[in-house]
Amino acid sequence: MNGVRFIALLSAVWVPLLGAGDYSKQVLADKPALYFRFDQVEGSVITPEVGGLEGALAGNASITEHGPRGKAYPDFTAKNVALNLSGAGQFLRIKDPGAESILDFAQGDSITMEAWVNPQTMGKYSYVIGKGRTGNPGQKADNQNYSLRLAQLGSSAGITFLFRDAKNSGDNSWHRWTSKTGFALGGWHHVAISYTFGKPETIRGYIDGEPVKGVWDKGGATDQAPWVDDDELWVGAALGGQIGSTLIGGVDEVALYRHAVSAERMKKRYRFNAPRFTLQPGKAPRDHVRVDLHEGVSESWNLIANDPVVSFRGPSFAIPFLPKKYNARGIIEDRPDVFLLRAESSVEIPKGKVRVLLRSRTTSRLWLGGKVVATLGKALTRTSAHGKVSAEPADLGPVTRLLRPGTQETVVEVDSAGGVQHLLLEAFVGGAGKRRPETGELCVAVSVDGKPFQIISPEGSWQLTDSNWRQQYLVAQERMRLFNSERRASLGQKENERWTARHQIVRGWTAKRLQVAVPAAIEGFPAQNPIDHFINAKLKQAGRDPMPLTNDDAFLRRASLDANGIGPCESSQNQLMEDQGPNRRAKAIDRLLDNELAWADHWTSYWQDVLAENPNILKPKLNNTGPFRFWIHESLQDNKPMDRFVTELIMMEGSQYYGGPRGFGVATQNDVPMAAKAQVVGQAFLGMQMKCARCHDAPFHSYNQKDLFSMAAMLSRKPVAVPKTSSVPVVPGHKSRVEVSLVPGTAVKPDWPFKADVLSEPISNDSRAQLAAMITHGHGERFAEVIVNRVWQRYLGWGLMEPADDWENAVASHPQLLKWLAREFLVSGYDLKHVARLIMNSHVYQRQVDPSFTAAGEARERVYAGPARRRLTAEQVVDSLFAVAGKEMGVEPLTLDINGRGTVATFLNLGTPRRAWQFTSLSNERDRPSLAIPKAQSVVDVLQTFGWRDARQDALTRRDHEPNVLQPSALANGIVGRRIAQLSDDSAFTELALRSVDCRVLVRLIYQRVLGRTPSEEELITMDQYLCVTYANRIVKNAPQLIRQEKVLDVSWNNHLSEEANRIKVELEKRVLAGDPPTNRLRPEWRERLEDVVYALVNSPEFIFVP
Amino acid sequence: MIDRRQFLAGTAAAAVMPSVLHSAPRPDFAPGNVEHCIHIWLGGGACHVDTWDPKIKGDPKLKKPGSYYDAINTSVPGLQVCEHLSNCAKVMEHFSLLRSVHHEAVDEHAAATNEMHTGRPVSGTIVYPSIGSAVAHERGKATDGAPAYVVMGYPNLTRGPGFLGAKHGFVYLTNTENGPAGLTRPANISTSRQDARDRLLGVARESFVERNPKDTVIRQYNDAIGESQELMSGEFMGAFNLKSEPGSLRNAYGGEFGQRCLLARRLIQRGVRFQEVSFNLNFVNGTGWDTHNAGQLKQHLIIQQLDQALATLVTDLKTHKLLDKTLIVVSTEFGRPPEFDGGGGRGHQSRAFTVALAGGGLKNGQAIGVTDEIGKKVVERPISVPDLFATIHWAMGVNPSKNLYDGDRPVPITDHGKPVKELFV
Repeated sequence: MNGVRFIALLSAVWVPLLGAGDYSKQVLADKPALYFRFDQVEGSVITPEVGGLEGALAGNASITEHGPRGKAYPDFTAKNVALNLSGAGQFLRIKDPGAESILDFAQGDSITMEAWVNPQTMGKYSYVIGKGRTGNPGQKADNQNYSLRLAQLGSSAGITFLFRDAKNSGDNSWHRWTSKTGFALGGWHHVAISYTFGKPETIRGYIDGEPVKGVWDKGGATDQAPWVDDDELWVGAALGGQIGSTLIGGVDEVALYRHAVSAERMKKRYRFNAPRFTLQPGKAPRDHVRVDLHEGVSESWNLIANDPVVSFRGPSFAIPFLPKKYNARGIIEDRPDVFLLRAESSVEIPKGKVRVLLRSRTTSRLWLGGKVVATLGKALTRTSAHGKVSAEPADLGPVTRLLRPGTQETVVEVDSAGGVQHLLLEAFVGGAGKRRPETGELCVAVSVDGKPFQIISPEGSWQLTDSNWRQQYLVAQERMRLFNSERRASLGQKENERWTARHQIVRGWTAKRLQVAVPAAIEGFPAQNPIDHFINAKLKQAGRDPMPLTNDDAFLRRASLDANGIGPCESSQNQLMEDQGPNRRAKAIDRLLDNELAWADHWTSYWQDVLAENPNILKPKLNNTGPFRFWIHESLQDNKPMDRFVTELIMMEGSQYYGGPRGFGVATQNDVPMAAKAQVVGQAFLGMQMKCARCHDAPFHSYNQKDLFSMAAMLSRKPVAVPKTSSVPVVPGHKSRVEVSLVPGTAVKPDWPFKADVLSEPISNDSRAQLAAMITHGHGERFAEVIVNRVWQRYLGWGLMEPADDWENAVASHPQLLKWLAREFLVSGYDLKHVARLIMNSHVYQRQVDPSFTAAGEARERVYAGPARRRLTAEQVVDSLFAVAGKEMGVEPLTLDINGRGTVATFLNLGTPRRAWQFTSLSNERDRPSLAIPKAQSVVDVLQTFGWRDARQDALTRRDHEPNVLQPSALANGIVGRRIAQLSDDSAFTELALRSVDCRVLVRLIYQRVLGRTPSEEELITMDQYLCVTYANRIVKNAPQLIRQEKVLDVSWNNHLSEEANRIKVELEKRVLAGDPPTNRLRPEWRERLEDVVYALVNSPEFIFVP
Repeated sequence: MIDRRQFLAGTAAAAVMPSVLHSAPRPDFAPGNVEHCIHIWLGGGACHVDTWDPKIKGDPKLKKPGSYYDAINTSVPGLQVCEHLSNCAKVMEHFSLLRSVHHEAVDEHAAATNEMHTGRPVSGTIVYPSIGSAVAHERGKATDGAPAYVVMGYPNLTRGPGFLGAKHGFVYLTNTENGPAGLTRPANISTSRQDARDRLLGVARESFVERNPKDTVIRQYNDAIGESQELMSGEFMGAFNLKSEPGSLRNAYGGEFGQRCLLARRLIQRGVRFQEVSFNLNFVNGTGWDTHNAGQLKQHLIIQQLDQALATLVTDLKTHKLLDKTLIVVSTEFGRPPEFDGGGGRGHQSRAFTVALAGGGLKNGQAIGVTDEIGKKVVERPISVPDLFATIHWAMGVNPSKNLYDGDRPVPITDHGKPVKELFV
């Protein structure tokens, strides 16, 4: 190896090198003592250009083809390689040859360290170059000879110089200088520090060739000598390679000098030809708006172009929704703090002077025909609550939607050339380290000749009125939902295949282990599928007769409520009626189950209760979780197999605050969150009620504290200690009736505490994945039985096992049926819908209610002559009310921070609800009028009265549906009830009344709509007398169409402590009381009669019971 | 199926050992005779040194800690309150001031509000009931045709029934003009129109019940509809017609908060057991009682409103011979420190503050518990929140050592609370 050393020695002198770009030439001209380009690699040994000291790669550190290169970085070679670090234990180590080597700097010596870096993520401090503090055995602790590191400054990376003085004693021996500014992540940057030891005023820092100001923020400026020893020089990490110190990403062109390189030389170091966005009007679409999202940007117009991370088609320049971000498993993730939206289209704009309106939440600009015509700046970020109520928004015309809080606007006059023109909207989303990733009411509209503003759309522009905006909002919401579905499916392909393979294994296992004989059919006992054979066998034994089948109306209403959460619409009713074929009911069931959105809307609330989903829209401190309801809803839309559902829940990945299952792992102000989660999981999926085991051994169950905490430790991925606050204190002299076998402070290791089957798949070394596998596959048929029993309970009223979440002392009423259903579930690939379909197609499900079946009773008494009488859930009541009236809920967005200034850890925005599951507690513990959300409160009132919980601090399987006097009162007198019975312009009843030609037919249609059936002869007579006498004159001819402009009340967190804000809200409450203003197209006297009829039907007990 | 509660109660051990885990023993003095409770809630954290526990005068401009107002004498010799409580001062013989109340809940509104309503910090396994729900559960309503528990303020979790269930929840109204949500008929529906509606509804109800003759579940809900209609047309709803009270009395009570107190008296006369009356009229000074920064400037206005209404309520109850049977509790989530903040207001202080009681036939006319010279720490006779709750329960004849039950799990009604003996003997 002599030859190599010889060359290395020669390299200490400047030698023109082959294959070096201009950058390397600059470095060499400044005569570095040590210089790594990372292009001379042999195995894990890296030879430097200059200095002769070899570096060794540690761990999985690698050299890859990704250094600064290409057009953007012209000073480098085309194939420039760099050091790549992707995890803990990865770095480059260089040994110190001995005392007074080129790596040792003493008092009076000058040092310059420089490198190119491309960090992917930022920890607090990431090492670029550092001597000492390696954690190597035999070295003193804290022995930082010198170092250059990146420092986290908000969302940017700054630079910091750190060394330990020769005294090396205590905190004051650290001396650290940190820059005040930094660079945004995403791309290669040049960093450098120079310093002369003993002369603190000589400190210089450079980012991208420019000097940066900084401050000695630890230990102060000092003239002390530095600590010097023989420890190694490391690139990319320190402290043994722990992940917290590692620069995750790329490092290149590491150079160490024994003098201070001057600022003029540094200035030449950084040459970056930023790729820029170019306008390409020819490529803009003409029949839609193409919207691209770009990440890796900072909120400034000095844009560096990159490829969009996602692209979608919008119908117009009104963009209220953005696609969600998904990881490779199709789970919701967070985008970076700020990202850029670019919406482009070619649209016809009339010639002449036009006014252009631009609205956005934060920085945005609009290009028209190649020129910027409108801009908006950064949104304010103050979150103090003592602000003032702002002046009313500008009047843009009598019908134009007024500006809302949380959005800015500007109106400019443009001289339009006419014809098809190129339109490009650029808007930043999020930012300031905390803004929510919302677009506010991002839009572009035009007003021609003083006419009302129209939203620009290649499909045809529309007037920017309140009702149009609301309508288009819903259209955009549905489009985005479908787009998100497609992306989940395509991104999650690999993951889907993994689960399909697993289901194959399970199928094989089930075929071998789980054989269930179906009883023979019984003469005189009708059956529609094997379920009925099991049921009929026991019925006959008990000497009971089956209830008769329901008629079509009752069947369809029941099936609709059970599959979709609301009663059947007119077309669904007609389809069943017209189909006279043999499988008409099965086909109807298929149609209902195919509606994936309604299926998800209905079942999400069930799992919210069972999994204790409990977000709080304000400063969550009451055992709150993140809003993982959105993940639940998407999983149900996708009909996700339940083993995958449970696994994703337990892995707790993805977004914490924007709906990923990571939100499940949060329990604010809880002393042992993972013990709470273990209890939820045990109850939900295994029928194991371990609530008591939190604080002592369960008195009536066989679980003890250790069982629960072992599972908690599996969820925590490390041992969990029992806190004093979760333990019943042992008082000497008192004989306690409960036992505490675990002493507080005991650390319990992760371990599966129950019986375990050998898994037919490799065991992961992640304890969460293990737990999920054990639950879904490693504990026999328990999981499958618990799930199918839950569906059975929901649809028949009482489970085959009761209670459904506590199986310890329970006995199955039909053990073979339970096994058979479990088998079906496993063979289908853990498909919840498959089980629902089987149950709904059975004869027993479709029978009339058995009125005597009012309690679970003993298992041997449960024979299912028919289903039990079920009342609608609270969500079904509310959703049905709005569905029959055909009205939007039209409540306020569920947030207390309408301006979008607060951090997401303090303020959530759960959006504008469409269905009941989207509601939550309105968090007015502070009892302030200015924090009231009156219209939403009116819906919450009805929900709560019927048993919905606004805060789900613990898991629940079965709600309390006992009748009380407040329930009919809330329906009859509450604001929601009022609105439903008011024939406003947006009511379906108003439309029916206007379109109708025959009064009796109208009555029939109303009965079909509200109760899902035709009225009886008597009912027709009563309604006829009440309604039909004045029917002929009901319509008011030529009634003027009223377009109401909604007043805007600027009350948000930012001004809620002002007197004005409180006054405004009290006023708003009074207005909400009035309900929805009536239409003027029907004569008041007749209109009121129809309202009374609607009132009678929705307040009838028939409306709130499942037929 | 074995009733586990019976099992618990019936074991031999229970007969010999104390029947509950670690509760304070039953008080050894007689309970009170209170029939109704009015829980006045000063949301935001009312400053004790600016109201019931005056100290040396401070000065925000000089950053000198202390009271913001002067102190005045009251009808009880040796007992002073702040100058803006002049009306209450005149009837102080009916008040008892618990000046050493304290808790360790996080100094944040929701957590502290929860502590002052449920008497416990948030638990991971159970949702505790509010004091109102607990009282409603134990004592029920005083007469038929009235709900047991009414809230005049915003519905929120801390006021709710927790594990006791919806049956023990509250009826609420946000202001006296609007009436209780869900029980107030829309203004534009006349009586005759409502009758027509109820007739049509009656037809629908009858027909449905007839078609389902054996269905008790349906029949029970149908009965609830009937009850609701009776409630709507009964005595209870008449309470909200404040116009039937003499104008002079309405003026004596004062603004919206005063009208709520007047309504509270009327609801007592109709059998409501527990009422939470919020003073949350934040449009007066912006911040309500949460007097950070500039909120301090107009604090005297809300103290005066409280003073006027509270004094009138005491005398009005006395006139109606209800004062001895009605316990008034003036509570808040925490107090405020004697030091002033940068804007001349005050922060939060939960380690020492005052809860004022009035009426209830207790030994009134005294202050119990002492704070230091500037009101920062308790120095004598601390009173915990469980003690406060135990006092309310025992005054109403409810044993503060008894258990409630969440399924099988016994939950002591207070967390080791001992009623303040000085109020009873």
